[in-house]
Amino acid sequence: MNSRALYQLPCTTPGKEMARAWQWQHATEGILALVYVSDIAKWYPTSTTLTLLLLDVNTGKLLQSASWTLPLVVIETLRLISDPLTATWMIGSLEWRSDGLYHIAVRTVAPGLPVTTLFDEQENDMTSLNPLYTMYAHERKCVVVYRKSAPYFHGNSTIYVGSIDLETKKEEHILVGSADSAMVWTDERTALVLALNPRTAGIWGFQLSRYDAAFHTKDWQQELYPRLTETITPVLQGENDFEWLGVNAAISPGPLLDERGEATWVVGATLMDVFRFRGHGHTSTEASQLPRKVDMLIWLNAAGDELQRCSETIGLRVQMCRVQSTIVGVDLLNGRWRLWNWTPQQAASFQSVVWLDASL
Amino acid sequence: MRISQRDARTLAEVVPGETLQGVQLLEPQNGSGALDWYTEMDIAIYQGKLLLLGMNDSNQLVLYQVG
Repeated sequence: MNSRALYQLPCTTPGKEMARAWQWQHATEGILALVYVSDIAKWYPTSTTLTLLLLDVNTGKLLQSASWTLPLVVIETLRLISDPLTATWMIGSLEWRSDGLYHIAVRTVAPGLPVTTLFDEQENDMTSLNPLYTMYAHERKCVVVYRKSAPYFHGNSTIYVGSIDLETKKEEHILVGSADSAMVWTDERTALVLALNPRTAGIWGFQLSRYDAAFHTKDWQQELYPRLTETITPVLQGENDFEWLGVNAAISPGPLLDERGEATWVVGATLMDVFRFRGHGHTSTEASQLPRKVDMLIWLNAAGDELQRCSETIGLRVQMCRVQSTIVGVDLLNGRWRLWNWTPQQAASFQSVVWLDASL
Repeated sequence: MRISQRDARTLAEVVPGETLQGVQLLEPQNGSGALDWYTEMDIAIYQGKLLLLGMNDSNQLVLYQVG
């Protein structure tokens, strides 16, 4: 393998935490769009400059660029999508403004790179907006999935889907459900929402829901139950604060079922009892060494029914992908990163495990 | 940062890996409220090669190609 620097992005205030997003241009070969915060004026009047670049990845050459300075705005999250029908770029952002409120905004950038605001949802003094889970184009609409906190932070937060018609600008907001925290997985036909909710009627856990890609139809919802180990933490059973748990989750497409080619998914999640870190912060590596945790790695069919449950324990920060009928994953267990693979059609256990360089 | 290409069945490296000295990935943008906050990584595959957005040791934002 060889490596080379293709392009250095102009930026006056670089940092690892900078907001950015990138996306391939539709129907072109190797044209990549990048949007990022290229300048921040920290002293009053503060401002943020957004830059959009079009790069030819084949040559490393800059094809087009535009910058916009937004006064009194701090951008925390960026998303970038394109609408192939109108050749329009859409920049989604979670941003804090001088009104003291968080906003979720979508700005459209037409082929000549003029920018206009398509959508602007602001929090109010009772709820906050965060995070901006995902944004995608679907049937001439821009779909934005985000979370609103409970009023005055009492009760459960809620997941919303905003859908904006690119022609009429008409907005529709759908309340998907409640979630303390969540993740959203989408493809062209399906949206999955994995939601973690505090106990209701004495039960806590994950709910996995399947929708059509526009979130108009909810096909099903299933409760997913993590494995409870013998060393189960009292935090999970008692009346302690649920939110003290460190929770990670990931979803991957699973092996196709038989000759029908039916879609499946694999869901992995880990809940660590980080309660003992009370009083100071902790790293993922530290948390991964805690003995008390619950986890799950399960293979589900298109109806959300469990087909197989992995017998192995999984660690924090699990990520997975499908390679034919094999799930390849990486996680952080006992302070070490490892790579594993699992063929859920054949066995409940991992096929192989490789511990990665201890210096990672 | 080390990048390797591995066989999905054996997990063995199929070609010698590449180390990018001094390059770091950017921080995930989502935090509170996202179960998969850590999965956001600035990487993509194009024509069998990896594209990666990272910070070099001079704190510059650079798009790399590996493969």
